Amino acid sequence: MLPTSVSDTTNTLKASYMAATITDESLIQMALSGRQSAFSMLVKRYENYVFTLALRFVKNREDAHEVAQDSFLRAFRYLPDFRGEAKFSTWLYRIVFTTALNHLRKKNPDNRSLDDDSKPLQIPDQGTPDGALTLEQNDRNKSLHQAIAHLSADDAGIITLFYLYEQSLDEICDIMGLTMTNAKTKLCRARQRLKSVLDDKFAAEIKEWR
Amino acid sequence: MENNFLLNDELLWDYADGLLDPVQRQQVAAYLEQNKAWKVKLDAIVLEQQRFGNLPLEKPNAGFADRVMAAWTLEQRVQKAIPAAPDWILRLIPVVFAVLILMPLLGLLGGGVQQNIPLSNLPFELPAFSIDAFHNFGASPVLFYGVLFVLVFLTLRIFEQFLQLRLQHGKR
Repeated sequence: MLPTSVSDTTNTLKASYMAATITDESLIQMALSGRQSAFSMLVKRYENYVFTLALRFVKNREDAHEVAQDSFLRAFRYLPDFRGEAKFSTWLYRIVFTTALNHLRKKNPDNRSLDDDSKPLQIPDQGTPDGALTLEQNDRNKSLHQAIAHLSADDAGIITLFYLYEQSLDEICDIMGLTMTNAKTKLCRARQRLKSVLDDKFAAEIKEWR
Repeated sequence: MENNFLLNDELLWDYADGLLDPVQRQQVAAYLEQNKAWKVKLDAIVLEQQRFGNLPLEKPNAGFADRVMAAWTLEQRVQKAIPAAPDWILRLIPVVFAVLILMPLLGLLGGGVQQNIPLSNLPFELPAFSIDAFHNFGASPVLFYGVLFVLVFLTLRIFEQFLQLRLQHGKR
C-alpha cells in the first residue's frame, strides 16, 4: 500500500530502518514470542537469498518459488529448535538445500544427490548475444547467470554459497552435509566446470570483458 | 623457501580463495613475487571472483513474502484449531497395545504348561492360564465385543493422531 501522507512516509522509513537494524537473533526471539511482524521481516530479509539459492538448485523459477516458500515454512516450524550454534543464514540455507534435494527427489526418485553427473540438468542454450553489442554490466551478469545455470545443481549451489553468499567452507560443509575434503574437492571441480562453461559458451563475452 | 616449488592453476585458485594453509600461502606469495605472469593470472582470478561476488541476487515474483506469510498464518491457525491430545492418552496407547499383545502370548505359554510341554529351562515361573479361555473367546459376547470395542477405539484414536500430525506438517 502506498503511503498517503508525510506521516505515513515517515512511518514507512522508520519501519524500514528498524527492519534493517534489528539483528537476526532479535528477530528470532520476537518471532518465537509470537510476533508475526518478525516472521515477515525475516522473509523480506532473506527472500532474495533463499530464492536465488533455490533457483540454483532446481533450475526453474516456478519450482524455485515452491522450494523457497517451503523452506521458509519449515524454518518457521522448526525455529524453536534453532539453538544459535550456527548463523541463522547458514541454518536457513541448510533447510533450502534439504528442501531442494527433496523436491528434486520427488520429481526424479532415482536422484540421490544434487550432483547428478550421469544426467546433467538440461538448460536451454540461449546462445551468445550479438558480439557487436556493447556488453554492459547487465549483460555480463546475465552471461554469468547463464553460465552458472549450465552447471549441475551441486556445482551451482557451492559456487553461489562460496562466492556470492561468502559462506566459509566450514559453513558449506554444514549446509550441504559434506566433509571438509569433499567440500574443497567439489568447490575446485565446480570452479573448473564453470571456467570450461565460460570458455565454451561465453568466450566472446569474456574476451570483451578483459 | 623450497626452490622446487611449482605453482599450478588449482593452487592459485585455492590461494585466491584463501583455502591454503599458512606455509603453502607463504610459498605461493613468494613465488608470485618472482613470477609476474602468475601475478597477472592471480589478478584475473580475483577480478572473476569479484564479478561473482557482485552478481545481483535473483528476485522472486512480487508478493512472494506476502504469500509465504499467508501460508504461515494459515498453518498456525490450523495448529491452534486442533486441540492437543492429553499426554495421558498418548502414554496409554502403547501400554494397552503391549497388554493386548502380551495377553495371548502369556495365555499360549500358560496353556503349554498345562499341556505338560516341558518348559523346565525357563528361569521364571509362568502364571497358570488355561488355553480354553481363548477357545471360548468367541462364545462370550461381553469379552468379544469388549475387546472389539477397545480395538476399534484405539484404531480410530491412532488414525486421528496421524491426521493431526499430517495437518501440522502441512502435508495435506
